[in-house]
Amino acid sequence: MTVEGSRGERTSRSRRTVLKAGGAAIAVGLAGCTGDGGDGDGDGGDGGDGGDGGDGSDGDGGGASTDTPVQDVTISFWPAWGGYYEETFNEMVSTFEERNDHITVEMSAQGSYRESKNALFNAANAGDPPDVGHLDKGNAIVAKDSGFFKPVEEVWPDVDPDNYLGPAMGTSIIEGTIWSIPFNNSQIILYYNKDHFESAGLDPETPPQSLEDLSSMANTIVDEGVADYGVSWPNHAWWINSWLAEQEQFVSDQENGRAGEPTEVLYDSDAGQTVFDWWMNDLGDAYHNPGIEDWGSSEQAFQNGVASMHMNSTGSLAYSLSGFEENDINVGVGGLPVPGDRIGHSMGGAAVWVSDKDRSEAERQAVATFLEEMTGPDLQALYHRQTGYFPSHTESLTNLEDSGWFDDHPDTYDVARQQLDAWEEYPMNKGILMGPAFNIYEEVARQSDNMLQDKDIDQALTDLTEYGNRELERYERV
Amino acid sequence: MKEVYTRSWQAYLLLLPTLLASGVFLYYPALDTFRLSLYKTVAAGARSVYVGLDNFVWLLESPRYHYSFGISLVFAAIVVVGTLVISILVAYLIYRVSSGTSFYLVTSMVSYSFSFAIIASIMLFLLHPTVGIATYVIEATTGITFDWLSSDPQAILVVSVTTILKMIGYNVIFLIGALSSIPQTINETARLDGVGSFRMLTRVYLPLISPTIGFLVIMNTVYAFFLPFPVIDIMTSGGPGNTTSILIYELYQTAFGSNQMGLAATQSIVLFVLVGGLMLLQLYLSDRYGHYGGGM
Repeated sequence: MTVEGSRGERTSRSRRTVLKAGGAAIAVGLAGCTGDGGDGDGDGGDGGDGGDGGDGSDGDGGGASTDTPVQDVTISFWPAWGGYYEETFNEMVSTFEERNDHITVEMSAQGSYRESKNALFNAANAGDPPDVGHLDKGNAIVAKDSGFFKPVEEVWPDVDPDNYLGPAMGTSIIEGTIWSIPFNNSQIILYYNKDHFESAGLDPETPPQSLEDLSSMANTIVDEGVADYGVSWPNHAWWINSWLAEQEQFVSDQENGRAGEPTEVLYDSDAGQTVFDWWMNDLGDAYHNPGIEDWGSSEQAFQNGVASMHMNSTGSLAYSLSGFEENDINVGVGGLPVPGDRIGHSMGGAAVWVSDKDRSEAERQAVATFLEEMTGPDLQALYHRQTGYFPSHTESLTNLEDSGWFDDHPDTYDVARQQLDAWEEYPMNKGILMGPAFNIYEEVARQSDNMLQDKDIDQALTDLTEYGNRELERYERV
Repeated sequence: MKEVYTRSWQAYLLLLPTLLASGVFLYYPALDTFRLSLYKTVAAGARSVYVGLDNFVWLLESPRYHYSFGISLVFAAIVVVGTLVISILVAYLIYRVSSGTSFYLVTSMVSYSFSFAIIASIMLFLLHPTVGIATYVIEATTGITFDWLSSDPQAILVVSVTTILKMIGYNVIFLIGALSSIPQTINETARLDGVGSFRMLTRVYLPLISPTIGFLVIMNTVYAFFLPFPVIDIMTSGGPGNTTSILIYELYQTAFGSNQMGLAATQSIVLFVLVGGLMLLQLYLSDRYGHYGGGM
């Protein structure tokens, strides 16, 4: 009775205490979960909300205002590459900030093209993208169709496309509109082990120029027992696309998607057959397969002497050369061996895009200034010297020449420059614009892999074509 | 029995955090997946168009998806059977040894303490066709060319072995627990009757621990469809060709490679139905054929 009543009361009070404490804990926990303030999307950096002041108007108009008083502005930039490249980006951004002390750049390197793309899209979906993002050139159509970005020419009306490398602008100008500015411009380069060449009885100063040379030399190296494999390159569609372009062959109809929405891929053309037939039959077992799009394993095979030749991007020239030097590899550099006469292949790499968000006029000007200087002659020259990527700005190449950079590196950077100079503008090598580019390029790598395992070339190309056409049919441009 | 709570709202209040978290991070995304599967999207959902069941039709007509579906079933079968067989043997041996039991038990669980990504990275280092030290030993002792980046069967073998290696520890824990709950009188009776170890395992212990085995079959099946993703991403990237591109990897590529969230949601539903169906089937079979009579 009273005991139970007392116990019941005491129990009831203690239960109330527990519930009150529990309710308080929940309230505190929920308050901590409402993420306003702090990082906008958790991927580093908030979205450049414009510093103090700003008139709050949407300043993304067409005209540049030259009378707007300078005010402190913060903008955000998400470059794709981290690691080795992040140091260079840091240096470029610091230099920019020193020259423009009213502009603060919040930079967050994303690590890779895929991570950069996903981070950008997710941030944009969440309504908090960075001002400037960095996207693989293959994503040009998807980026345009996403609605996340503004054409650069709307933010930077004075942009002159003639200031930029012709081969690099191919995927930046879409249907006459300048959507992005190239930033990361590369072609394929070949490294070869001169000591291996000598041991195999080949001239160590003469790298292969043609596919025929490449397969012949690679097989000689293997036959002589110098290395397990003659050549390695990442199994990536860039090589196939480049070899098709060099044969004046489009990858897709509608002039690689530049004349309209493509509906079919053309890997099963005669040019495609030539490439794959050469790869699987002429080169055959002299090719070291590093795995699908595995750049690291391919380079590792060359570093370890498993393969005597290695193809990679000029964008990693600086990094690769320093690695070869550390490993005491007597390396030579040559251009991409080609099926016939060299006309130049499409530029790989990425471009910077401007997100479509509300900005004040001051912020717009800051973004325009950022683009102008970061893709300008001297910062792009710095980028080239430290990475190997071709500078986007044409003046950079002139400045580098005048400074003797290429004369000081005749066997490395100058080889890449000469290959770039040999580029002639053809409809086939101006860039590829396909919405489902990622899927199609991945399928190219997979079917190549299948062919390496003795799948019939014709069947593999048929399967590739069916897949590519299906993907193109599904994708609808905006 | 005295009731802890006299009001049901008190219990619900204490359940609220769990319900909220599950709702926000589990149930709402799951429901939204169904909605998303009816849309064709661009750029991670930036633009979306309602297409009804077209995404499902697309998958039904996709040869690549058919292959992925089939290889996922094969891979799951290999992993489930392989994991259970090895785990049962390991657990039985640990159960039977008279000394060093703790050492063997801890050793068998080491791999489970690492994440799939770590295990995959270690195996990649050991088994890499070009630079792997284990590869060198394998090729030197067997004479075969161990290049799983260029060989379908070897790729499936390597990915399966890596996955099984990771999952052994989890299974051994449960099996040891089940074996330890078997009354000692059975062991003594078997010893007196001169029953051999193997017969003891197959005719006595396995039936007695069949509920545990049934549980592990279900869990291993679920794991085999989802958890090997890091192994494939790190070691093979779905290759060679599409050989190791199981459903979860295809889903990842669709979602984060080509950013087709609608299609990825569709693939997620297919995977959910498949694994859910297998689970229900296994629950039925284990209920029907499992021995729940204990040791007496």
